[in-house]
Amino acid sequence: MKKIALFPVQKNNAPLARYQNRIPDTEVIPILAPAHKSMAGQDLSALDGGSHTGITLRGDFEKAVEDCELLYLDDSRFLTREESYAEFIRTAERHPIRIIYARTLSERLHLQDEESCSQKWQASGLGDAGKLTAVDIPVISVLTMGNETDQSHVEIGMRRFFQDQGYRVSQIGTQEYSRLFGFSAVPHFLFANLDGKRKRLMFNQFVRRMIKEEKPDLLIMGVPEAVMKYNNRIPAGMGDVPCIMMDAVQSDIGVLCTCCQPYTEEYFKELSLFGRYRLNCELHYFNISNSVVINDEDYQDRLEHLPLDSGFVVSHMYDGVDADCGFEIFNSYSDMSSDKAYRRMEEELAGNPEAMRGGI
Amino acid sequence: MGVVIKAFRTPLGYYVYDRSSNMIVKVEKEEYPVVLKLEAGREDEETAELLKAYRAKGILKENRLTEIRHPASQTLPYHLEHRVQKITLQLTQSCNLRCDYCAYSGKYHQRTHGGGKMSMETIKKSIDYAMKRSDGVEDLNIGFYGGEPLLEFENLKKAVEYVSGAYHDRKVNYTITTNGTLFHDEIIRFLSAHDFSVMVSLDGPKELHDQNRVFANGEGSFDRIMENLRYIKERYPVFFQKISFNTVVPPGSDYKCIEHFFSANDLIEENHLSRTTVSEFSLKDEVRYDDRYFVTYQYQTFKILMAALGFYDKKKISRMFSTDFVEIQRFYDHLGEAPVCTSCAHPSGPCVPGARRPMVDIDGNLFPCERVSERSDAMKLGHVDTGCDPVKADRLLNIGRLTERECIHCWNFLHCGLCASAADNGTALAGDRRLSYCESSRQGTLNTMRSICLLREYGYDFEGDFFDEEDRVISGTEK
Repeated sequence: MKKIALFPVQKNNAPLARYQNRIPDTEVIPILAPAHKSMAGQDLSALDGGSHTGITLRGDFEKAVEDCELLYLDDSRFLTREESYAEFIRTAERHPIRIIYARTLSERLHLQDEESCSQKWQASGLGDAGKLTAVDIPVISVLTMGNETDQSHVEIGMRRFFQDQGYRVSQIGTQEYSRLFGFSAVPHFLFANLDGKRKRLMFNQFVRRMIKEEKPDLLIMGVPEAVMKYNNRIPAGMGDVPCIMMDAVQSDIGVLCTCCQPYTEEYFKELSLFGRYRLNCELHYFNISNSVVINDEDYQDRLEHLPLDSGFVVSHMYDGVDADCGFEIFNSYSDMSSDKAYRRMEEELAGNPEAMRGGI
Repeated sequence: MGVVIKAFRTPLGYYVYDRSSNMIVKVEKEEYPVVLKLEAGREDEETAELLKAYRAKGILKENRLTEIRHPASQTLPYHLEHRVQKITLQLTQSCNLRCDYCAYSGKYHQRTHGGGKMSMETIKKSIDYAMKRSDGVEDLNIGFYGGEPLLEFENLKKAVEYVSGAYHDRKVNYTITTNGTLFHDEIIRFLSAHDFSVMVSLDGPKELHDQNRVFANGEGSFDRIMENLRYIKERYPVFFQKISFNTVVPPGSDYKCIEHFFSANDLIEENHLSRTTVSEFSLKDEVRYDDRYFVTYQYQTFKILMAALGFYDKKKISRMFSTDFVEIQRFYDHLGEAPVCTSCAHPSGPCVPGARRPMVDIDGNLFPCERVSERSDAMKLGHVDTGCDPVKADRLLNIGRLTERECIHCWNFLHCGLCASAADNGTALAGDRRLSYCESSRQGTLNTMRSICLLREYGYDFEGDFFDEEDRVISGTEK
């Protein structure tokens, strides 16, 4: 059995550990950032707020990487000093271990020619076809309102569900580690300095090429970056990348991942309309994450989040919203609530002949 | 329910602040009397017509607020378990000074100077407590406080060494508040090596500083502090830059004189400077500032506004007041955000007690911060052995419930700024005590709004860069 060390384990990459049984003959060892060391010895669920996994969080970096073949080193806001990474890298290199870097970390550390795990499908050879071509399979897009929305967990959880129903699933993931699960991460050219039209055409070809090769029944498309600005002071990516991807590939179902807040039905209606007119896809599915945006500070120029757990979120996610409102509001870490949502998606796609034809 | 608004004027314009949108709206002169009627809750044909017009634009919406509840109430236990951002350790209750307006001078509903000090066991427990409960924050801040914390330099050293050993790869920022009389080489080298941010209390020129900040024998502390500062600047210039100063302006003092001292003193000309007035919270007797204080204050504010409009050299603005403009800018930046449009909300002001910046006293008791009364049972949140009592924390977080009836209809709801300590009368949390600060809070907000409108009337560009980024960062840190 191959052992992969995951460092630092944090909410956005915890699905790699939680769903390690989806990676053949592999054990993932989740190692905590120093800031989280007090969780060492606890179950992974202490970190991601989900159900018990039987996977233990480790705090002893050197010992944990000792008998691993691979170290997946991720970017983390809890490791702000580059020298901290250098120290961990030196420690790892004392052992015969292969290190792969998240792309953003590789850029941050100014590493060149280091191995990144993100690309399965290469972008090379994608030209300007001059037109968009229909994708002839059902497409589910997983979108986000920002950070800490458990988007990657929805992506992997949805993959698990549809694979378990016997579907062949092609997937594009928002996380760099996607390839470890056997699918591609969002191609880098979407973040490159290219004009929007060219990105749309290239991404359309990228997906077409993937579909042609893999012949799936379904495409799950993770869409990185927030679909809209938070406010003028926190503009994030202004929703550019989501717009490009959603223009390039028509989605049949859109799932929007968002933090746990006291929402109203009106709010979800507005978001649904936003999806229709801006993202080319009406939104009816909303994942409520195990995090809440903190709003106790008087003034803040960045968003801070508070970790919650699934039990809390499930008991509050319908506060202020009628359960029969027509929207599927779920929490990906609750099997009952997420399976219900994924089943409804399956039914929706099965009953939608147009979706089966695809088309832009 | 009506609308919750505040009408106000400047020499050149008529305005209304609308709580339901958190916006300031310019109104026509002819409309202003109608707006005043609306504000007073008088309804007639005219007000109905005006309301209709405004509501079509999405403002002056009906007040839907019926309940005061802080949005963090439900998630409070998670805050207490994951979001401790700063912990302040009261290393000692001793001090080598006897400042007249000190919180421990006997003039407050507060303990007085004592000889107690925090044991190493309590220090370690406090650090462990914060480390365990700060996994939701990037870097933890540990502050050292007193009394005079440098009287316990050996324990301070051991505390930092404990963090370096047990939590060696955790990012920790250290701060210390000191009276500046006890620096020596070993202390300076240690604080410098661990990148401490140091706040020294300095009240201005010798004659003013020594009026209040005296040693136990009555001798003034000014000369000692200045001697220390000169030494540090000469021998440890890099560390010196990290020292900031706080000046307390007591009633009756000559603001102009203080201002002159700080602008003319080349020793500390580049260090960050902040000013405070004597805290009124938990004070046994009323504190009264005279006209001279207010005139100087308003004149300085006037100069800032003139400088923003290009009529006065911004380099001549008092360093003691330069951050005031940043507050005006911030107020402007946040207009339109987080309006009161739900049935349940809480006025601004309270932090999440026990999470934002808990203070541990020498016995390990937890308080919301170092500024509250340690004698108040309402403020005692728990103990480092047992953690914060969520019921008590919730009571402080939802301090607005004490004055629910008034807060529901208050236009200053989003800019109030009164935390739980304003309601602490020494024996209990009291609504009337809290309400006694409302007027000054509202007046402060009104002044800021008037400044904003005045600046706009004269063409000031709030998106511009009157103060550079560094100024803003300094102010942000201070805040």
